[in-house]
Amino acid sequence: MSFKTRVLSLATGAALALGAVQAAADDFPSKPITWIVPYTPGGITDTRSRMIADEFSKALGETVVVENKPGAGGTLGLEYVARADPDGYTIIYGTLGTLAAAPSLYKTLRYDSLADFAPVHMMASSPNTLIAYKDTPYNNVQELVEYAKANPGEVTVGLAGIGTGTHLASELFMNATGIEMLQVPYKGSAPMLNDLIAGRLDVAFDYAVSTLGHQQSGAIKVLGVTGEDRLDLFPDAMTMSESGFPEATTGSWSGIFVPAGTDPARIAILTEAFDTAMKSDTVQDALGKVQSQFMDMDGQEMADYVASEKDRWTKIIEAAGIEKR
Amino acid sequence: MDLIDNMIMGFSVAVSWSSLLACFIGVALGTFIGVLPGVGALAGISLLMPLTFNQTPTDAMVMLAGIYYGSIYGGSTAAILLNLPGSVTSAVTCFDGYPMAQQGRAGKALAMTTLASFIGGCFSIVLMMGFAPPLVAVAQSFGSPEYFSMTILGLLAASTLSQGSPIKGIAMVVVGLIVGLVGTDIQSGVARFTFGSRELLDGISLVVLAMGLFGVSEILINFTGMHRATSRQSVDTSWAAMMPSKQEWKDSSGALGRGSVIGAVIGILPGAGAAIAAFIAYSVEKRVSKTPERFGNGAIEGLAASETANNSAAQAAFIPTMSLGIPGSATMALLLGALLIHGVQPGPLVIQTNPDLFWGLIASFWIGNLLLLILNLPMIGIWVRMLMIPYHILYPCILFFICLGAYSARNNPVDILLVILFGLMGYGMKLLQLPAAPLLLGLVLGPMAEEHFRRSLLLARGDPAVFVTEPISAGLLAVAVLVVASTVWSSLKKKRLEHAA
Repeated sequence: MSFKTRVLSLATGAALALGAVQAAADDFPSKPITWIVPYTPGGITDTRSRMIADEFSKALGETVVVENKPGAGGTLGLEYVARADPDGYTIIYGTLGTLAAAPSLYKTLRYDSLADFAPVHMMASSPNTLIAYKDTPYNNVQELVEYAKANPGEVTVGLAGIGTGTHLASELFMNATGIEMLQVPYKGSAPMLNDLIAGRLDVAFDYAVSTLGHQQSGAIKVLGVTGEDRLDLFPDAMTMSESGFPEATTGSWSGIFVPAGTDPARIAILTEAFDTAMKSDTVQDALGKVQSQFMDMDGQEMADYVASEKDRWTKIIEAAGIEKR
Repeated sequence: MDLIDNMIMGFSVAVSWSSLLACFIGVALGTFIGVLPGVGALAGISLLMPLTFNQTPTDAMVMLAGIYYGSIYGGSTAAILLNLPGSVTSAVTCFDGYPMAQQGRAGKALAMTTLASFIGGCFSIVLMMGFAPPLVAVAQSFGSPEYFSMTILGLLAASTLSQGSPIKGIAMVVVGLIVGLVGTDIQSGVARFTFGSRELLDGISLVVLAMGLFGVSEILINFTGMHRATSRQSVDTSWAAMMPSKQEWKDSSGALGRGSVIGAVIGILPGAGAAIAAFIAYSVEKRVSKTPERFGNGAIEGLAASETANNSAAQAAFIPTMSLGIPGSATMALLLGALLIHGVQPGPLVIQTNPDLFWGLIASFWIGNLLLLILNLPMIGIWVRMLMIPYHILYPCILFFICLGAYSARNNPVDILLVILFGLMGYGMKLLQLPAAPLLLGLVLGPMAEEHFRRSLLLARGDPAVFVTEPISAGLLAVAVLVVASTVWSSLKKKRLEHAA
């Protein structure tokens, strides 16, 4: 596939180059940029990357090729980029999972999430939705917590996989509320939603994009959201802060990084073009549709944010006692 | 009647020029992608998805779906001619398709595949149009206990898949189960049998294993001259020689019917998939056959069963995907993603909010299946001529494509090493006359059985009675017991007859 992608992108690249504008004085970039997506093709991350890559490439005046390098929860792709040439031509989609949580989840990670990557620009934060089977006796976060306290160990919570964003959100939630729920791991969110809709599972953390269709049909209800603010799609679902558990606030963030040691002048060019791409109508529109919040952040601010997130999740994962793999 | 109204609406959408073109491009590309070893529907769709961004949502879905079932069809071609499963679903096609090709009946095998695929596909389409809502209810009632019992039934049926010694067959199922353990444990997230290799954390890919065990080992066998006698052959590509004979139709008619039903039933279960459907249809056929010893040696009904089942399941998989919004496989997830890009919210409401899209898509399946038939029957002669290419040219090319296919799944060179490793293993297994089919089934069903067993117990708070108190699960287990009992009974009877004689 990669071979064919490359042929295809070379063809489009040639077409684009004809109308390309010289973006920078030091003739960077002078060849296509490879954007590594460390997940399988077709997922939310992949489709979003391809959409943003399109705008990014317009702003940069150079083709941006999206290449998938999936495996081991996205960490194989990060390992690849950590060892890539720091020339600015290889960029990586970094996330909460691979940069903040992975160091505490994997035994032999061959990268240092802070030292091996330099920040380019943040993308967005996608808050989780806390959803429940339609006939459960609770309708919001507070009622769930009261119910779980009155009936310890009875509520089951689905996880889309150990170490995934939904797992981390449920650990954080149990930590913040002090309740115990029986965690039921699944291989991805599709089978988890299937069991939730059929009533075999009580609650789960999910994302707005996949929650919406099932909420509209009445198969599930949204108890709350983990973002700073309420989501337009589910105006009645309270945030964790409103429900009295501000520590349970979280969201799956993502950003673009390059290998550490890349020339700061080149990073600046990438950052500026990426900023333009993120602020384009197409991207803002698409983010709004899936209820992701744009994070206008780069440089030191972004590096500090990633470092603080890594600290935060290291503590949460240690407290949860998840064994390293 | 609803059905007729829906169909008229569907065809009025699907017969438009743009939809017809999208459908044609989809199935043609799909066939081509399927023929390439290891490059499956997933890679094809993700590669071509950007091309559909400017189409209407219906045309885009019609084209992408065409790539999907076109590639499942195309995968059979490589499986029959070269013993190379182009996709997971066509692994079963190798069992009888390749022996048929070796006997000089490649044309017949391909013609039967084309017709069987068409029949299986059509059966599921009718089912989808008429009974989607009740079928979804059935699929919904499948929880972990039901899935577990189904896999147990499948594993027991696997014991019939083996040629010759049943002990060797069972041993290979166990090897398959062990290979299935490699990777991250779903329940705890702990790595198992990865030997510190992070590339193995996601487990061993079925496509990589199948390409190694069947394709690479076949090449090795030919290089070492174990049965060079069966190589190069003159090929008769006349129409009469390629069309199945009246007797072959008669032999296959039962298989075509049973394959369609089994494929449809398994296809609507999210997470089961076309490969399992093909395996089960094949074992059922072997079990009901009066001459089970012909299976694996070019039995055309074995081929017919697996081909109807995998295409029937491929179409049926759209039922949960479209009407529940829950994708049964990665490919289906990709198709839902494509819907999202076009601003259509996937989910249970799609049928109501976008009826033209839903019914247009289903009508296009029919047109697509018909196009596959028209496109591929004349192509058979050309494919079969591929066998006339001298092996010293053909095999290096195939090896190249195998490596490319293995690599392309996740752009990881480790998979190339694995495919060669499994090739050597397959070669060794052929020398020892160990059957590869049960191993493959063990790998398909083993991880599923484990996942659902542990989740059933987790949700039932550790009470194993859940497997017999749930009616569907209990029924499936009862059938499994019957299968074992009938096997024991028939072997006892055989022994007694031998004693009497």
